[in-house]
This record gives sequence, C-alpha cells and structure tokens, in this order.
Amino acid sequence: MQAHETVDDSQLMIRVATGDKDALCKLIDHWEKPLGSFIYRYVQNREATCELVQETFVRIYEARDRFKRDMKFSSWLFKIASNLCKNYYRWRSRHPEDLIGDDEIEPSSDCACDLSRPDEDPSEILSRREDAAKIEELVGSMPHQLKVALLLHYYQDLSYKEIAATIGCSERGVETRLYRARAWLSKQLEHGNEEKCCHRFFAFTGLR
Amino acid sequence: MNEESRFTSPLEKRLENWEVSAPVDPQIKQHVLRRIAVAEAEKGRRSYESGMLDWIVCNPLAVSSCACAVILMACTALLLVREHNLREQLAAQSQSYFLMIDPVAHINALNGQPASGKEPSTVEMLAWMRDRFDLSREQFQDLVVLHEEYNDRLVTLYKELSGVQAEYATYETRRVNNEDIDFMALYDLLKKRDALRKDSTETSTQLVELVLRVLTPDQKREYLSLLNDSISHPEKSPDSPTSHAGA
Repeated sequence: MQAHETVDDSQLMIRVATGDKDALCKLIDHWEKPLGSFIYRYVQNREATCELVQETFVRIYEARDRFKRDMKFSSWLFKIASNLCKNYYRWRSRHPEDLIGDDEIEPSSDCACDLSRPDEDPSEILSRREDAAKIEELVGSMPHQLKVALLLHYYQDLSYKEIAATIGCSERGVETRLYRARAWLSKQLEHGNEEKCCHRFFAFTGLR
Repeated sequence: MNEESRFTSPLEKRLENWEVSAPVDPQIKQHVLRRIAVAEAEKGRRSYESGMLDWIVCNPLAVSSCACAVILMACTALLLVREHNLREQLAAQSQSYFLMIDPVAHINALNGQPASGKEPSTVEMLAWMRDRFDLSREQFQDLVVLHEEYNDRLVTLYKELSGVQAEYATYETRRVNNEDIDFMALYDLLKKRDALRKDSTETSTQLVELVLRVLTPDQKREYLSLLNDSISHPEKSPDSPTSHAGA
C-alpha cells in the first residue's frame, strides 16, 4: 500500500485535457495497478475488473474538460471507478443470468497471493487464508459507500480528504463511514463466529 | 498517514491479510485508445445528427424553403425529361412520316432490308403534324384525304423498289462470289430501278406540293424546314434493323 499520486498526475491530466493521448498512456501506466486492485476488491471478478479499468480510463478521457487544476487526480479517478463499480453491481443484480461462466467468488482472497511467511506454522497460514476469504466475502456484501471508504482508506492509502472528495462528503463523514464499516465487519465476523461455534456444537452433539 | 497507523486493531490486522493479485491487461493502452476512438467517432456522428436536427428545428423557414426548392428542382427536371422525350418522339414521328412519303429515301434508310412491323394508318401517320403545326380540323381532314389518295401508290412503289433492291442484292452477292452474271438482265434491272426511283420522286414531289397548298405560310415554312432536315440528315428509319440495334 503506497501513495500513488505524484505531482505529475495533475500535469499529465492537463495535457490529456488538450487531447494528448501519450499523457493518457502515462497515466494508465501509473494507475493501472492501483486502480485494478481497487476495482478487483470491489467487484471480485477478473473479467469485470479488466473491463472496468478500461472503462474508467475512457471516461477520464471523455470527461477531461471537467478536470480542474485544484482537483486531486486520485480522487477523481476513484470517484469515476467507484461509480462504475456501483453501476456494475446494480447491473449484475438485474442480470444474474449473465453471470454463468463467470470466474467470480473465488474464496480465500483470489488464492493467487502467497500469504505464507518462511517461519510460519502451516495451520497459521491456513487460518489467515480462511480469514482473508471471510473478509473478502464480507466486503463483497458491504454497502457501497462503506465499501468505497474502506477500500480507499486501507488499500489505496488515500487520506480522509481524498476519500471525502471521492465519495462526496466531509472528512468527518469519511471517519463516520470508516467507523461504520469496521463496526459492520466486526458484527458480521462475530455473527459468523457464533454461527461457526453453533455448527461445531451441533455437529459434535449430533443434533443437526 | 502511514501504513502502521492503518492496521493496528485486531480487525485491521485481519483486513491486512486480504491481499489480492488484480488481473493485469497487457494491452490495456491499445484497448483504451481503441474504445476512445470508437466513442469519438460515435460522438461525432451524433453531434452532426443532433446539429442537423437542431438546425432543422430552429430554422423551419429555411427548411421549408429548401424543401420547396428541392421539389421545384425535381418538378423542373421531370418536365425537362418529359419535354426531351416528347421532342425525340416527335422527331421520330416526323422522320417516319417523311420516309413514308418518299419510298426511295425509305429504301435507302432500310439499307435494302425489308420493312418490319405494322404499317401505321394515315391518321396515325399524320397525328404528329396536327400537334406540331396546330392544324385545324379542316386542314387535317384535307391532309388525311390527300395522303390516303397517294398512300396506295406510295406503298406499291415502295414494294416494287424493295423487290428490285432485293434482286440487285442477289446480283451483288453473285459478283462477290465470282459467279456468272447476266449483265443484260442486270442492266434491265437497273433501268427498272431508275424508272421506279424517278416515279417515286415525282409522286412524292406531287404529294408535297399538294400538302403545301393545304398549309398556311407559317406551317409551310416549318414543314419545308423539317423536310430539308430529313433530306440533309437522312437518319435510319425507326423500323430499320440497325436503328433497333442502336436503340
């Protein structure tokens, strides 16, 4: 997790505003990975991620005239991306039939990253993977504004101010959303643990 | 805000465990630029269409003027085409008429080929004159009577001339094939042809003179002008095979 923005982004965006596509390519080089990571955590679907990353840059180019010098590019970028993600979710809920053959909902944090550390106990590794999968599942079902605030704060390293500009609220509002997001997650995890305990109990006593 | 400050609580530690490997599109730039190009082309088309629509909505007077101009142009073009067709038709009819009253010219126009198609009636043959010269009813009746008087004679002359022409063609074929030719018979045939031609010319001249008597001075002038055109520009007869082929 790192701060991606440099002073050059705004300068590049000003060049993009004049129709300079090379500048757009530089912005793509710079922002493709963080943007992809944000979108993938949001939609949890590889194909949709690629599509939405492309669409975000297309929208940025189309809306280039609306970019202002005093704007933080990252805020603008994630604002567009989060709106696209929201629309994608809405569309997906209306067209569940189009999800056939999708590669989504892969448990355990995409299974693509290695969470293990050299000196770590295998059971620890497994536990952490299960935990990550649970977090992924819960974030997937989190309300939009809480999800955006959470993803931008913890995984994109954006400041409250930048998140506020992205979501369209005050910094205080961002704090509130993050608090609610954490509370929502804690509650869900607690509920999940209780359910897990119940499952174990019933399995043990043979009452299920 | 640094990394340590973000993942401090137990819950945040759990959040830290959620790492992902987001898909990377190796050709993202090409894809994005292509989509932009497509979107710009579509936008250009839409803006042109909406611009046209706006212009139409904002300028009803100009649009109706344009529409009227287009309609007028179309009508003018139609009228011109129609007039051109009528002129051509009239020219063909007058040409056909002058060939009918001149068997020699008719034979030459047909180039020795037999006439095809039905012979027009006298009224049909003269219908064009009624329109062209604006003939009175009496004039037209006089002309019909006059042409009917000469018609049989002209048709007979034409048939005889056709027969002689056919015979002459036979001699010509024999000459080309180096066959024996009865030159006395050929001489007689040529004499007969000359006589028929002379007879035809005299008959046609008589008819023309009589026609001119029926016409007013203006009509005469126009009739003679057409006759001169017909003689100076002898076109193929409308029923000649070559004419049909050209059509």
